[in-house]
Amino acid sequence: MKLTHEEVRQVLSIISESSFDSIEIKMGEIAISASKSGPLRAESVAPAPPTPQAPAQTQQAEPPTPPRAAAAPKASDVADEGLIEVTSPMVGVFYIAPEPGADPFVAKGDLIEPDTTVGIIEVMKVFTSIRAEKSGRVVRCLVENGDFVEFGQPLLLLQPES
Amino acid sequence: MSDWPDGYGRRILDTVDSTLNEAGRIAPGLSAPEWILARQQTAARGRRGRAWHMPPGNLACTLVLRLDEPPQRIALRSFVSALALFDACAEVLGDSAKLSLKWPNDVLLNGGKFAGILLETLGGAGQGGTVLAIGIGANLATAPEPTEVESRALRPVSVLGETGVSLDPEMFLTHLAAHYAKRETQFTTYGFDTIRQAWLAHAARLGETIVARTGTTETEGRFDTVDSDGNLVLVTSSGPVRIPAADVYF
Repeated sequence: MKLTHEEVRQVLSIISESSFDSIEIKMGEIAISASKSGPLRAESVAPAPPTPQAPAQTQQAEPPTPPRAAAAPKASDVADEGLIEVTSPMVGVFYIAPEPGADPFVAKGDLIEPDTTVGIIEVMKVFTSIRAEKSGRVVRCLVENGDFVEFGQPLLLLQPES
Repeated sequence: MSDWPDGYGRRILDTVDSTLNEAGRIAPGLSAPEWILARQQTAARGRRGRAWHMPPGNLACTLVLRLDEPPQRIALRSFVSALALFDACAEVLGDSAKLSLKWPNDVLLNGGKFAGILLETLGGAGQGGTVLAIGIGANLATAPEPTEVESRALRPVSVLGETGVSLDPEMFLTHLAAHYAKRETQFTTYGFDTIRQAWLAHAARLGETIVARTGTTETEGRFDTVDSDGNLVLVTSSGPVRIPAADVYF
C-alpha cells in the first residue's frame, strides 16, 4: 500500500489545523508519525512503537524537545546494526539515576539483563523503576536526565551478546 | 469509620531508617497490603532524595501493596491516597472546610502544606505484579521552619499549630487506613472517574492561574481540570496543555 502525495498533504493539513501536537497513523504496512515540533517520518511498519496514549498537547519536560540526533535512531539503522531497543513502558519524566548526583543506573558499555533497572519514570509523583526487559551491552543512551518520554519511546540501544 | 480495615496488615516500628525503605525490605514476602508506621525515622526522605523533616509526634507511614496493573493506572493511586488522607483529616478534625488538595497529591490545611505523599514502585513489574509503596508523612504535631523548605514552596503547617488539635499517629493511621481501603475499593470498582470527581470537588485554585514546573520548563495557565488519565490541564495563551509530571506553584 502506498500513499499518494496528495494524501500525505491532506494528512499534514489536518494535523496542522488541529490542536494535536503529534499523531501516529498506522494503515497496513504504512505508518506515519507527524509532529508540529519535530520531523515527519513515514516508514514501513516493522515493529512500530505503540501509539502514545496521551492524545493532545502534552507538555515536554525540557524546553521544546526537538528529537536529538542520538534520540531518534531510524528503525532501519537499528536493524542494520543488529541492535535492539529498550523502550519506555509509560509516559513521564525519565531520570537516569536514583537521585540527583548519584551514579546513573546504566552507562554505555554496561552489560545488562532483563531485570536490570535502567531508569526511573515520574508521573503524578509516582516514581516507577524501569527494567530493561532485554539483555545486551549498552551501545547508546537515547534520553537524558529529566527528558520527557512517551509510551514506546526508545531509551537505550543494546548490542545482543552472543 | 475508625476500625482497622479487613485485608490490610499493620506493623508498628519504634525506629526505622525510612518506612519506604522498610517497604522495600518486606516487599519480596508480601502476601497482602500492609501499612508500616514508624514512631521515628532516622533517614526520612522526600521526592528525588530531598530530606523530609520528621520530628516525633508526626505521622510517618507507608502502605505497601502488590498490583497487577499497567504503570499508568498504578500512578492514579496518587489521587486515591491523597483523597484518603483528606478524608481522614476531615473526619478527625470534624471539618473539611480548612482542607484542600493540590495536584497531584498534596493535602493542604488552611492553604499550607501539612503532608507529603511519595509513591514508588519497587523493582519494576515482576511475578505477581508490581509492588507499590505509598509513603505518607504528615505534620500532626510539628512543622518545619519556612526556611527549611524551598523558597517557592507553600507555607509548612501542622495540624496542632493550625487547629490546636493533638493527634496520636497510631490513632490517625487507623482512620487513614480505613479511608484508604474505602477509596481503593471505590477506585477498583467504579474506576478513576469517581476518584477524579471527588478530588476535583476539593481542589485548590481550580479556575485560577497557577504555574507547573517540570525540569526547567514552566507552564502558566488557568487550572481547568484533571483529565481522565490524571493529567493536570492548564489553559494557556496557546491552548490547553496536559501535564503528567510537574511541581505546582500558586
